[in-house]
Amino acid sequence: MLNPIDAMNAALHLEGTVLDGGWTVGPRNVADPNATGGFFSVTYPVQKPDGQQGFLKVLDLGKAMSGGNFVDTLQFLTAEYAAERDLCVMCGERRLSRVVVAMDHGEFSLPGYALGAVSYIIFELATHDIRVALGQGTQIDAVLRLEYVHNLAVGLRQLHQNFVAHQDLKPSNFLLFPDDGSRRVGKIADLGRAFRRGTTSPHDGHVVPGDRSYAPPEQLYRHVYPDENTRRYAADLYQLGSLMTFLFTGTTMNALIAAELPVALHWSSYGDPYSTALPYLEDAFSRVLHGLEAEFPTAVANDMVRIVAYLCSPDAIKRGHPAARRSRSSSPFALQRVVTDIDLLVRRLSIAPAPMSGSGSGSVSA
Amino acid sequence: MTVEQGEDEREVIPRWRPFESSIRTGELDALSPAPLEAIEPELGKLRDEYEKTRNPFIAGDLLSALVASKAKQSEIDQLAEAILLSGDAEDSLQRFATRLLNPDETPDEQGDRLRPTSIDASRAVVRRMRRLLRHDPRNAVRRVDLALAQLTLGNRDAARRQIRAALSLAPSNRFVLRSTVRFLISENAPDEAVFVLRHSEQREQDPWILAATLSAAQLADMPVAHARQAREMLSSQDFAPRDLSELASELATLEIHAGRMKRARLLFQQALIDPNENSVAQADWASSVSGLTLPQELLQIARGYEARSRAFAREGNWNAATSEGIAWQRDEPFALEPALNTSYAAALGLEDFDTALEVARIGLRSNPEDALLRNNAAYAAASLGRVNEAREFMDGIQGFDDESGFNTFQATHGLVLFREGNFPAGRLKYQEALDGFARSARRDLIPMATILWALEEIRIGSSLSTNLVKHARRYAKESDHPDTPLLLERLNRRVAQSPLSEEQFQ
Repeated sequence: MLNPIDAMNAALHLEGTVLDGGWTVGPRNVADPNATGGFFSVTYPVQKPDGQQGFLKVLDLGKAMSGGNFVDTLQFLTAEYAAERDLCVMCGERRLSRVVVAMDHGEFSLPGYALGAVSYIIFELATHDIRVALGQGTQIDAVLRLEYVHNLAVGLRQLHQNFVAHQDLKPSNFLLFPDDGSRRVGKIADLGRAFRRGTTSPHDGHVVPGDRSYAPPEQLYRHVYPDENTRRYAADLYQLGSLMTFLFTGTTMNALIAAELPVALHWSSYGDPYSTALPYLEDAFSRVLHGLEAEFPTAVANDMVRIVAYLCSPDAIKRGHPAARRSRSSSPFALQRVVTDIDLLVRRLSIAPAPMSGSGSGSVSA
Repeated sequence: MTVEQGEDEREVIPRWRPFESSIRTGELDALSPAPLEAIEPELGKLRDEYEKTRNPFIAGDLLSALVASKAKQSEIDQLAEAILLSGDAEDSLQRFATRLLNPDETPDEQGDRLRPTSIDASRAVVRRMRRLLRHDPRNAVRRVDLALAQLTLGNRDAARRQIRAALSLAPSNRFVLRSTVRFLISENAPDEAVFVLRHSEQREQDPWILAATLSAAQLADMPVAHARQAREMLSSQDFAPRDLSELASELATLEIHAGRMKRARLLFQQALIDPNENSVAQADWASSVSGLTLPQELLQIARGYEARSRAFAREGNWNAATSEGIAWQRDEPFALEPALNTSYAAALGLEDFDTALEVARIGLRSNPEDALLRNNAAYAAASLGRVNEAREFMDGIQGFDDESGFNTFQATHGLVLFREGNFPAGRLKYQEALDGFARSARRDLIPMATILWALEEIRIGSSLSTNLVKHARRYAKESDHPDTPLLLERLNRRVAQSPLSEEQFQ
């Protein structure tokens, strides 16, 4: 049964509505595991008469009314929505091939509802997020996983080249789409927490703009690097390395570090400056890397560990491809060389003889 | 004749233990707790996804989030068990889940007691750390651990290189700074330690580092420049009593040196609210020199080996003093103090010369030039009849810092000559030792040296023994040295066992 606010909230009653562009709204996703987006949106499947499908994300103004401070929450929600919309539009206009882009967006008022204003964005519809694909039991070998990592790195590079930092890269935000051929292609989704140079977003002032579970350690220890590039782009690099680790181990870098870190030094208990915690984190990280050697495909394990090492260094200033960090003409966090590194690994792994058995093969079957 | 560390010279010098042991002491905990962060909404979404799908990778995602956020252990265990039971997760996730369910046992104090001090064990640490540092040369924590193992093996130059590298990598880290201070003090360079600490930005914020600064300055005979800052920290309410314990102890020690006992007592009260073992050892020392009363239950503190060893020695419980001393040396195998005190307790208190020699040998690895420790090793070796070995220890002695040390050595030399069969020369050395003590401030050692000489004369059945025993007994009556009664009792026992009658010794 709907509460009074929900009953007068148009965002929750869009099923059957036909939007501009001919999109017909399907039944609302209720806590859809595959849904992307923040806590202040509702989602629906949408379809065009020609069969093209999409994913509708609608701003949920009702959440503002259930929050503590209506005006502030409303302002926050609308600013967040506008920032994401503009960003998605920009990504679409610039044809970022490895980022989920907006196919359409708009606003209208649905009569008969006190909260009748509906602001929406329609995204291309993914088949799954990466976790569902990996867990479905289909044969996803190490080469394909590395290709997904490559997709991720390319997507992130495309964002960074447009002066956008994602800030919330996590497994559920890496979606797979059917490609023209038989393989699927991975794209980065959910720019709701993104930073875009030259614009403001409600998350810009947050020490942890994204999901805490995947945040880089400097954010977890509440440290704010004074340099904006380090604060934004280096954080993305950490999350890229963490996702790379997740694709091959099913665990995130934060979990692996936390498991190595003495309880007293964990970010949930250690309140002293980040600089004092860094040597301990670097030590824990060193042990994580040592353990990862056995988890990655044997043929490329050393190189993968090397990549994770420079992407996930606890000291954000040390992140980035070594050549990019040496270069005076590019950003230390530039991803071009990372993409090349991963591309090379994909090729090497695809021609490497398959291991007979045991760990480190990186393949899964069910 | 053996010697122990003087009772008038203890400062609150930071302990130096391997990183994992230091963590367990709580000395590396943050000064400020982290603020509480709400992550339940994010976890809630993952929980819903997992419940609906039971997808193994979503399970891994949830498990990762739970571990990263230090969620309730029961929930982590439950999910880890579910992952293992389902069997459809990848090997790596299953290994992670297994590891979470079977964490490494954290060694307790018993583990410290069993920590090997052998050369092989230290070499194994060196090999392991070198391997690790090959992959991660910027790991300051492990460079400090490598330095500790190198120092334990006696490789001071290698230890110095590692400490310098660690300090340049992590100049504001408490573990690195305190370990550096302890290393420099072991190098007899407390002034350099003060220099390092005074250039650390953490000194002004961290009472653990300020305490080390004060103690190093005291050892270096430098003016105490931060006492006011220390007092402000102690009264600021910004720190937990545990974090202030060493600082209050060291400040109290300064007050004792200045003769302000009332202030010292008040500061020790503050230090002992939630002390670490170093503060307890300091308070125990203070109780022996300043009349401070140390609550006896504090001696049971974890890793309180030094305090217990000293307290047992004062009580004349030499078995316990030696046992705690050995544990103290296992805790700080590079340190001079446990080697000196434990070799003294084992040799003089128990006549367990094998243990005394072993303890002294371990200490000499890191302190090969220490004359007093060489003296103790020579005394133990000679008492075992291994005179060539004793000679080797004696030959390495470059000189003594004070007259008392030299006179003690003269007595040991006398023992070695006796054991070599050169009795006249041995008597000469014992006599020189007695004359030296008579001229020095350590007249309290005359009875002990006389007894030890008399014991040698009895052992060889010399006619001079009767006269010496008479002298020794007379001196012992007037002695205020706490260990004289022990030696006197031993002398009386040997007299009773000798072929001569007691009357001849009267």
